[in-house]
Amino acid sequence: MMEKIKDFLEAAGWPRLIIGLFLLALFITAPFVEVNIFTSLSDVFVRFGMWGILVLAMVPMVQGGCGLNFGLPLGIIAGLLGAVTSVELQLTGLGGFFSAVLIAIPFGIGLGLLYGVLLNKVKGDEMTIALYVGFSSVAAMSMAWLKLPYKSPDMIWAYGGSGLRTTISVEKFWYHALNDIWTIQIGEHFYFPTGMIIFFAFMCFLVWIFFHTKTGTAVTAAGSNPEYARASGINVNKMRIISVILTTVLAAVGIIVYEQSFGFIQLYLGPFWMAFPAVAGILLGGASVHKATIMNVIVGTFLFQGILTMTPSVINNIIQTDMSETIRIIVSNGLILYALTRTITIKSAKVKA
Amino acid sequence: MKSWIIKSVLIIGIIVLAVFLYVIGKEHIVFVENNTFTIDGKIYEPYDLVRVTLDGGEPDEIKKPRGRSLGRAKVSTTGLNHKVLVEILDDDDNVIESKEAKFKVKNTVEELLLNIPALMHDAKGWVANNQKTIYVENKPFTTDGKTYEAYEFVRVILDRSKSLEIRKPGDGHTGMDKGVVTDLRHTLYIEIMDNEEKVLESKEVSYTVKHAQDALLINVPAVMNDVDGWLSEYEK
Amino acid sequence: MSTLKSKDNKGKVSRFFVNNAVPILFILFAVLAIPMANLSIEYLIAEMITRLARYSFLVLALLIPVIAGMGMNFGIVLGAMAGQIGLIFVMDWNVMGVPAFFLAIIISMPLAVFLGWMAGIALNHARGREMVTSYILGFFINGVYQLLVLYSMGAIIPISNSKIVLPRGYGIRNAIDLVNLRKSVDRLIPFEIGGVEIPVMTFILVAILCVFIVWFRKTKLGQDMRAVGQNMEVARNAGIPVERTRILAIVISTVLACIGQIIFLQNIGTMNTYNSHEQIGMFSIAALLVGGASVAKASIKNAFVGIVLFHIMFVVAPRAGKTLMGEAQIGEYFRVFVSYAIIAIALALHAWRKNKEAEFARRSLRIDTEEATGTSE
Repeated sequence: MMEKIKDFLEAAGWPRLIIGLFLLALFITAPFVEVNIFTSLSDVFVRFGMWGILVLAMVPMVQGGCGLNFGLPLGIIAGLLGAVTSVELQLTGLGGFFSAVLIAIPFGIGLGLLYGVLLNKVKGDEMTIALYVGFSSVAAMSMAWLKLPYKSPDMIWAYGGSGLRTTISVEKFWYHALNDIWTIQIGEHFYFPTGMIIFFAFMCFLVWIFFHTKTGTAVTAAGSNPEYARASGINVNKMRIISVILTTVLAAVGIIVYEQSFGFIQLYLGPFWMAFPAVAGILLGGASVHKATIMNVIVGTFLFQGILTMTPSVINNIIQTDMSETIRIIVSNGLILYALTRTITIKSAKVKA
Repeated sequence: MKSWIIKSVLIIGIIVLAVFLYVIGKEHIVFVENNTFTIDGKIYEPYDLVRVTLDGGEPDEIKKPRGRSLGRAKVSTTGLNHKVLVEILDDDDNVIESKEAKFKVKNTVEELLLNIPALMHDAKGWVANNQKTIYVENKPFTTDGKTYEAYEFVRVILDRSKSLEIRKPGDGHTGMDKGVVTDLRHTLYIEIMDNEEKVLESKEVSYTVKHAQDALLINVPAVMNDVDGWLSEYEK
Repeated sequence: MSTLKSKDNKGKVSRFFVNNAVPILFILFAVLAIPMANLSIEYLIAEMITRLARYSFLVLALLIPVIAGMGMNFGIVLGAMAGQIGLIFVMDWNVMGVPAFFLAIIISMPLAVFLGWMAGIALNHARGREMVTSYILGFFINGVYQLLVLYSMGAIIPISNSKIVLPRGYGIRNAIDLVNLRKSVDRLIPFEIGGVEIPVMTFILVAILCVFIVWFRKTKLGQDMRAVGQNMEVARNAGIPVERTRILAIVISTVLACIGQIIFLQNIGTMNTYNSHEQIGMFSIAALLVGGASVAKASIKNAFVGIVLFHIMFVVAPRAGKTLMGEAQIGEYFRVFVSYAIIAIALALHAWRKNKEAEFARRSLRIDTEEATGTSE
């Protein structure tokens, strides 16, 4: 029995267990401090669906040995281009949503290719450089948003100012295009965005399939042991580029899913900090800098978004102070820090030797 | 052993330096007032126009209080030892009389009140702490053989800003609290409450503090019953 | 080797350009953009003097971890936060002028040492990815800082001055007017050239720091750091306490950054309690890299050249953007873009060069061993 408990603890890992218990405690306390548990649960599910694919976008790059994708904003930019173009074309409903995705994918592939080539040149320092590639691409794109020749009156400033607006409403186009498929509504407060969750599950399935193809296993091999992979005839650099492209495309799709639920496209400096919740999510799910699974994505996103939804409402009602922002900063960065400072793996030692 | 001594000397040195910096850098605000000053039955009247220079800084000209003019100036200083130069001026800005005086500030004092007529006459209390500590007690008050009992629970608001809540003495309560107020004219608002904090009775009074007084004692039952002696000098 | 020598001169020139690509790029930018910005040279010079006084100390605080091979220390943000806490206390106590400046330093110093020590330990656990880790560490401690300053000051920590405490009774205001010590150090020794105020005392402090850094490099500890920076294993075998040396490098850097932030804020005169420290790491690092430094090598010269070049871009970009594109906003974004892109490019160039060298070394090693024995290791 003790052995079993020990095994479970080992498998679940302390951070997950603590955060999981904390989340459970929040759910139990919620009704006592007049927080509606059904509304909260629905919020958790909606945010889970919104962030799921963005977190999933971490997996290929980690598996390919390029570390955590702090450059997520690059993929998000591809997604934004798709979203903005589909609104420009006045496409609505599910069609609008999928056309946004289809337009975004080539951008994702192109940017991912460049990004992958760059990351191959800087092996060992991928994460730091990814961070700044993400930041500078957001700033570069901000200049572009001012100048790109989009004309739709839904997106440009009605008067004064030039270029696209900072936030663009998708209400008239594909707002809740996925959320509203087979929605489950129980009572007044409980709402389950079935369509969005199914889409997320489908994307997870695609990634799972990919990692079971010949190319997919080659990517994993190149990531976990590049020397060995090279010896067995795998083109490591090519595999790394494939993983980066996949990550970038997933990020592009992820942001469109996020927007159709959120209702707005956020341009300019909007994507600036989006990598951090995604990184924190997958790490909370038990991934490391070198290994990430789809299970990590699901568990991590649920726990992390759960904490982010529940802490503000519950804690604020208890202490009558809005500390949500501070708690979010400490929890998410604490998690990333934990992952970065965990035992040094054999791999990084090998690079030095 | 040796390095241990060096380290502790260093740490003590830094702490001493910090205290020194605190002492010489601490701001003391000096309110210079050209106002009537009363002491021991003597009254010193304000001057028409005076020029005041504190520590050789920018001089301030202060007129007699009239209408909106309060007859005072606010000067910021640092450090403990100060020198003030007062010049009494006539209508043509000629110096009629001048006097230089020195004074010391305690480091804990935030605000000082410097009275010019008193200074010119060397009257005691020409420089005083502008912050007065008001002790409020909710204790039985006896006068002329009559005793006014303490209340169960009172709330006292000093100058409409600082609120004190005082219970009857006993059960670990002292029946006393204090607050710091600045300047000379003050108000006092008292609410008598029951244990559910419901207000049963309330009263507002105003009072003045004398320059030389640093601390005053106010007795709540005496205030509520309009008995003389509710305000007295606080003695430890 | 002989083939290398024959094209020695040509190689030297091209190597100079490759090694100094970033500063050269910036000089070109300055040459092109200054005429477009319509700013007088006097204004630019005055602005550069102010900014040198404001940022030098912070940028110089980055040098010591570079010697120890720990790259750009984004953790200087920690020192900046410590400095701000010192300033909050000094403001609360109404201490004025130069004594306030030094008192703030003394108060925040223990905090800076503690934070630096913690950061050092964390970075020892994150060998090889010190930079990302110190960056995230900055965010994490920022959360703790908010908890401390926004929620416990005035509630648990006794701070009562209504000038700095929020009306609700606890938490520090968003912007604090540092009336007490605005330019107190800058103007301690008043000096002007042609209407331009020269903050002499600040430059003296910066000069003292430069002398300290030069001296420090020659001390036993400085030599140890260099050894650790070059090769940790070799240093360990030579009996150098590697972990301790690395922690000390970060502690010194954090303490210097703490002083730097106090100098920075007394020059600006207002403290944005929750923002003033956030950008400090990024701007300082960008400036140092623009000055031609790399993750593995940075000098005092790089710091000063970098501050001037980076801040010329900073001042000129919005104006040039307006002239060129008819929009100041473009210049604003350009500024953000350049700050981040320069770090990305400098880091990427360095990593690329390092990988090239490692590959070359590996290849030559392989050839050597094959030639020597023909057997595997």
